[in-house]
Amino acid sequence: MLFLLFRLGKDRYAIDVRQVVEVLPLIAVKRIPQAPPAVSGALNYRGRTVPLIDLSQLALGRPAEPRLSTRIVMVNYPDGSGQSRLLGLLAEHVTDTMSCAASDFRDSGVSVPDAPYLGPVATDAQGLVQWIQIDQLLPGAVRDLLFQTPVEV
Amino acid sequence: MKNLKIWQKLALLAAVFMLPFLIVTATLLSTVEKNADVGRGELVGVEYAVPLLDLADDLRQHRALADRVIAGQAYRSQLEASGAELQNGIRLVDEMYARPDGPAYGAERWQVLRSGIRDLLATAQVQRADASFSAHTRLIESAAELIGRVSDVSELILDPQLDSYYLMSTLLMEGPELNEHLSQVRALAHSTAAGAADSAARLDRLRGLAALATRAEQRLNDSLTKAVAADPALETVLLPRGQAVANEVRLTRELISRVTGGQASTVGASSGRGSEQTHSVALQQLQAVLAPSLTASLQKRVASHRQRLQTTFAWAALAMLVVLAIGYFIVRDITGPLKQVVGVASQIAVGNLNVEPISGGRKDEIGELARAFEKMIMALREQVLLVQDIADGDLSGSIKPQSANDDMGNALVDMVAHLASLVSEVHKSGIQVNTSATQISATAREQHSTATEIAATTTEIGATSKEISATSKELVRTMTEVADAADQSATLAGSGQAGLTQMEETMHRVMDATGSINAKLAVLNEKAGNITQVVTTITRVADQTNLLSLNAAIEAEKAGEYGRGFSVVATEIRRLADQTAVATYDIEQMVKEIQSAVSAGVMGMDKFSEEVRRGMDEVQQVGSQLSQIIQQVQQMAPRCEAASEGMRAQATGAEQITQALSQLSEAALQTVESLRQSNQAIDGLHQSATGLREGVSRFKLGG
Repeated sequence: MLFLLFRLGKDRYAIDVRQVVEVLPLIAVKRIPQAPPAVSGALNYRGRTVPLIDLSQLALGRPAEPRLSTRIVMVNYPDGSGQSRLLGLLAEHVTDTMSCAASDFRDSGVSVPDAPYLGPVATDAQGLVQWIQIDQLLPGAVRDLLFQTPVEV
Repeated sequence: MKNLKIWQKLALLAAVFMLPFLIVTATLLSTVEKNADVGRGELVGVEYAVPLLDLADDLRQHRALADRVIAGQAYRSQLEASGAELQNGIRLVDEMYARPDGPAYGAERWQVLRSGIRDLLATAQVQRADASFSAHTRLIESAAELIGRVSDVSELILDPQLDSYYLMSTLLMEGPELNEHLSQVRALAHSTAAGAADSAARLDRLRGLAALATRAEQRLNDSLTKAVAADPALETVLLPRGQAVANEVRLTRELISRVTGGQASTVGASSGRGSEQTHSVALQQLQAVLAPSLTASLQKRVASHRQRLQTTFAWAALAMLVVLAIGYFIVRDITGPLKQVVGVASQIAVGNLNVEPISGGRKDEIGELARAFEKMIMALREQVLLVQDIADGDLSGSIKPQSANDDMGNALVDMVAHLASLVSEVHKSGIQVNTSATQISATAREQHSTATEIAATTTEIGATSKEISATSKELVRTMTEVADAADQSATLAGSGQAGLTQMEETMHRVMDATGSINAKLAVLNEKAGNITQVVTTITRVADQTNLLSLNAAIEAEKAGEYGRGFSVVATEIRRLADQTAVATYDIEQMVKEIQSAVSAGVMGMDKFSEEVRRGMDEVQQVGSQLSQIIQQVQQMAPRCEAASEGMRAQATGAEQITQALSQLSEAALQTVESLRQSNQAIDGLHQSATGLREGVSRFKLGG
């Protein structure tokens, strides 16, 4: 299996590339007033309007730093009704991939109720990597806000 | 007025008085002249009126004859003779109008009248009796109108105030009127007697005409009587003619009474050719007397006017001549004596008092003036005698001023008094001068000894001043050395200042070099910035490559087994991109180091140039202080010069004092000598004072 790596602070995390549609450079984002802090805004992806979630804001409470290595990862997100929606994730240091088997990941032994998306961890030469579960990513309120009414026009 | 002489003033006065006189005279002359002109105009008018009167008379005769001829009587030859007379009358009037001074008006009326007469003459024998009568009557009336016209234009004045009035009235108005009435009456009577158809109407007309003729005759007689009353000389000439006319009127009246009384047959018997024309002849004779009388009267009037004119003119000229003669004598009487007085005054002005008496017994103002002059000359002569006495040294003569205002007399009294006091003063002064001369000679002797002492003292002072001179010369030498030393220090300070100036220039150059180094460092900084841009570009490329390799790897993974090989390639590409990123990072670090080094260099250079600037300020301060020192030292040199100059002057002065002192001692010796001489002079003075006293004693002083 191939995983896309990124960082939250100094820690490394991984996303299953099968859920990834494309990695995009940091492009102009339309801000949405009075949205939750984690919702960074909306962007136009190949003619479609896609919501953008700032992972740094979601996990660490600070916005992602504007760097070349800070990129937008376009993923397929299964909303609650069994459909798959496009969702943009703003993540820092999205520069590398990791190739390993799913069995290499072990349970982290710590379960955080507020962050259900943190999955099992694996080890490579540079240290620990934690698997991010995309389908668990958004809290219910945010997910409802984003997908209750169809975004596509 | 002040610039006019007396005779000019009198002439002006005379002219002012003569002016109204002349105006009155001129007015009088012009009035008389105008009256004379009127008389002349009347004369001419009478001259013109007479031919016209004759013509009217001829027309009346012609009318009567024409009546007879038309009635079939044998008067044809008389009618032709009358026609010839009319032609002659026309010629006379034509001549009158042709004259250069002929009547100005009535010429066209005359032309009408003349052609009427000519027509009448041509048709006289073929007309009916009534038509001929009325045609003749119209022509006679036009002739009377023309006479009136000519009278108006030639100013024939019918003024009862004039003596010619009644003559003129008889000639121009009553005579012709009566003539006309009588002619008509006789014609009417004749035709009535001849048995004309409308006898009753003719009788009425006859009675009317008789009344008119009677009134005309009364006026004629009245005028004749008044004319005779105005000029009794006319009585013998006029009254017989008037009687003849009255006789004719009486005959006519008898004729009328006969006709109206129905004795028509007797009319025809008694009326012959002579009785027909008798009234006309009588009136013509009256006219023949009246015209010359009127002319004579008018000529007399004109002549009397002319005489009045000449008399007035002569009197006026005589009056003017008398005024001029009197004026001339008055002027001569005033200016002659005045000239004499002026001559005497001029002589007195140049000091000559020997002049002739000029009053000459005259009692007017000029005589008074001359007598005043003579009195003045007398007083002046008395004063001259007194002054001569004073000149001879006699001050005892008494002078009485002529009056309180006699400045000259008062001045002479003062002069005598002053002279007397002066003489006594001089007398006293002579004595005093003698005493003083004695005192002066004693003093001169004392001064003699003093002068000898002064000579000795001056010799001593001369020795002292020589010493002062020597000392001053030494001081001058010392001051010269001081001045040299000051000059040397000024030169040294000057060279020090030059060195400082060089140093300042060098520092300027250092500052310029610092500036260029700074500029070069800035260029270096800019280049480093360029390198940074290139590095950024490389970084972007590496980043894009990384992103591309990521997406490639993701796609390859999605492709499963088929994408495996491609996945490896993507990984390799990503590694290459990462290495590039590292290299660019290194370059970026190096460029940053260079930039910080450059900034440090720039700061260092700034600090260095600041220090150089401060050093330059200090050098400038030192320089200005040095220039102050030089200035002070340079100022010292002229002061030394002035001091040594003063000392030199002092030495010279001391020498001059020495010389002066020697001259002084010489002068003292000379003083001694001159004192001796002045002693001699005082003796002379003594003698002179004695002589003065003797001279003054010559004046006799009055009490």
